[in-house]
Amino acid sequence: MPSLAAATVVRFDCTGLGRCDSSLPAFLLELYRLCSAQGRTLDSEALPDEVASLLALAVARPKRAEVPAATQLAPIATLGEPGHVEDRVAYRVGVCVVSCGKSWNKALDFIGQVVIALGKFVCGRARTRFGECWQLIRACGPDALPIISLVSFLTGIILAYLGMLQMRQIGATTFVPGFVSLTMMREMGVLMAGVILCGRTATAYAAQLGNMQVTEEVAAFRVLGISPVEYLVLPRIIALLCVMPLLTLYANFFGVIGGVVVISNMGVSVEQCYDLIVRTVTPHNLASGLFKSVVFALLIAWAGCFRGMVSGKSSQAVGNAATSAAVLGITLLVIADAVFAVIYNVTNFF
Amino acid sequence: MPMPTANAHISVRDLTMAYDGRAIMEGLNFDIFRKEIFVIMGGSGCGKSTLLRHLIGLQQPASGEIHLNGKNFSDAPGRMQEAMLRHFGVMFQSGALWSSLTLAENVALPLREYTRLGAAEINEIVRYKLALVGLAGFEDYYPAQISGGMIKRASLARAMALDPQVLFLDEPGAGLDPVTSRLLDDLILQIRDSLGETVVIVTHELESIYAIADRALFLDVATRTAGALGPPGELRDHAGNPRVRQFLRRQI
Repeated sequence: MPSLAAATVVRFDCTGLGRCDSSLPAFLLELYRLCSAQGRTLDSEALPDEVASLLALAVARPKRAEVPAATQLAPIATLGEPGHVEDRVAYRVGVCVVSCGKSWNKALDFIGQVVIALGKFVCGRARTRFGECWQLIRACGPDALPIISLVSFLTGIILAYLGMLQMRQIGATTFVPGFVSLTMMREMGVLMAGVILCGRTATAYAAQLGNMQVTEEVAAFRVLGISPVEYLVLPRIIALLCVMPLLTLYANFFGVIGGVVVISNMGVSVEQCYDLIVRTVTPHNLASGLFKSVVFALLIAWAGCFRGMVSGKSSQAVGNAATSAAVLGITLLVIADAVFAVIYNVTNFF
Repeated sequence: MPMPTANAHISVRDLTMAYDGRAIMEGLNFDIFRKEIFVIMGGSGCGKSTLLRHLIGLQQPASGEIHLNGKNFSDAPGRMQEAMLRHFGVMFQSGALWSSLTLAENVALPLREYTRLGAAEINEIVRYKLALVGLAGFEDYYPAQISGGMIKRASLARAMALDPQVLFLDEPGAGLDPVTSRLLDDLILQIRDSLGETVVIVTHELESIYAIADRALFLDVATRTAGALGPPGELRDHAGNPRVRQFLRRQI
């Protein structure tokens, strides 16, 4: 903005002005504000009529009752001017802590509601639509098979290749089939299935429920006295609980197949592989992965439904809910897997 | 706190509504009587829909009480409040039909949950309710396949599914053309006259207000409290609050 020096009235010379777009009125509005702040007058006499009227419209105050600032019911201690307060580190840290506390509260509240709903389901008193479970099972189960096949097959290949490279140096390649099958069954099968369901299903749940918040479909359940957790969340949890162990078995199988393909091309025959796998893998190994899969299913369903149910009411908020459902789900999976590793090790359970 | 009026259907006493600790309306006191069409009106953003959400239990008052048939609704324990909610039918501004269900399933869901009727009887009631709102033959349509006006009417049918004592309608005419909006007004009047339900409507559409309201409550955004309460025609001519007269006369 140029300096206006000592001028008290700002006039315009519009000779030679042809067509103009919105940048001229936008510039004039800025100029008007600057002049007003400095006690100068803006003379719009020489401006073209349409530009002058646009400027008048932009600077006019609406003739309606001014909306007063809302009263603060629970006043927060003010630290000087609000504009400055927001810049302070302590203020930002405080806001961050308060919002973390609130989201923890929401998470705990939702865990409580889910536990109550599951309890009611076990007692046979849950009010839900079991018919919807079949649709949900179909969406998160069979539809996920192609991607799970690919990812677990490739995981098996990677594990076998790395194992063979290392073990070949000490001539212990016969350990590799057992290593690959154990790793798939105890860790990678369930983890890969879990990560894929986080990406496919948790995000879908968050988006579906978030959209239902936007369209007030969730509120419509509430005003009917029907718990949205029982009616919307419970079928989703049940669907994942049914599907996840089966998908884990499927991922285990394809992972082992991938491993055998590599190993059999690197010096150990398919028959030998079969013998070694059967000798190494016990039902306990299989069960340890399946047990994890049940817990993972709960975590994935919870993450997706939680983010959907606390979603804001805009399209951007629904998008954020879906993204954060995937992030939360995968984080929970990894944490839970680490906890399982410690528990299995300490208790020597599996 | 003043006691609820004895014969009032819904009594609101000293209600303060707040968002994130900030009050948006304070000290609301009014009664809604049986079988009346009660309109909550006011400028955009004054808290009309928020008041409705308080009346139907979707939001808790920051302070004050809401009574239904003389019983405290807002402070009732969860299960009792759920039982009281069954006396309400709510039509949301967007319709809020469950998009994964057909119109018939939308109307049938409350019946399946709260009555012991058989499938055939529920089917009959669903067809009757949809016929009442002029949607006979649309039972198997999904919400995404019908127009905005039809969604509103289907939502009204769902709100009436359990023969509620009170119907709450949030901006029923919003987004509808004048003729459809007028037809919806007529429908609301007919429903009130024939079924004897109390109807609470949130709207700022003056034509609708004059056409159907028995009494109207004006929420004054300037003072953040009730600006006036009475029959809309009277308020237009005699309201003490100039903002109420301006609103009802569409004056600046």
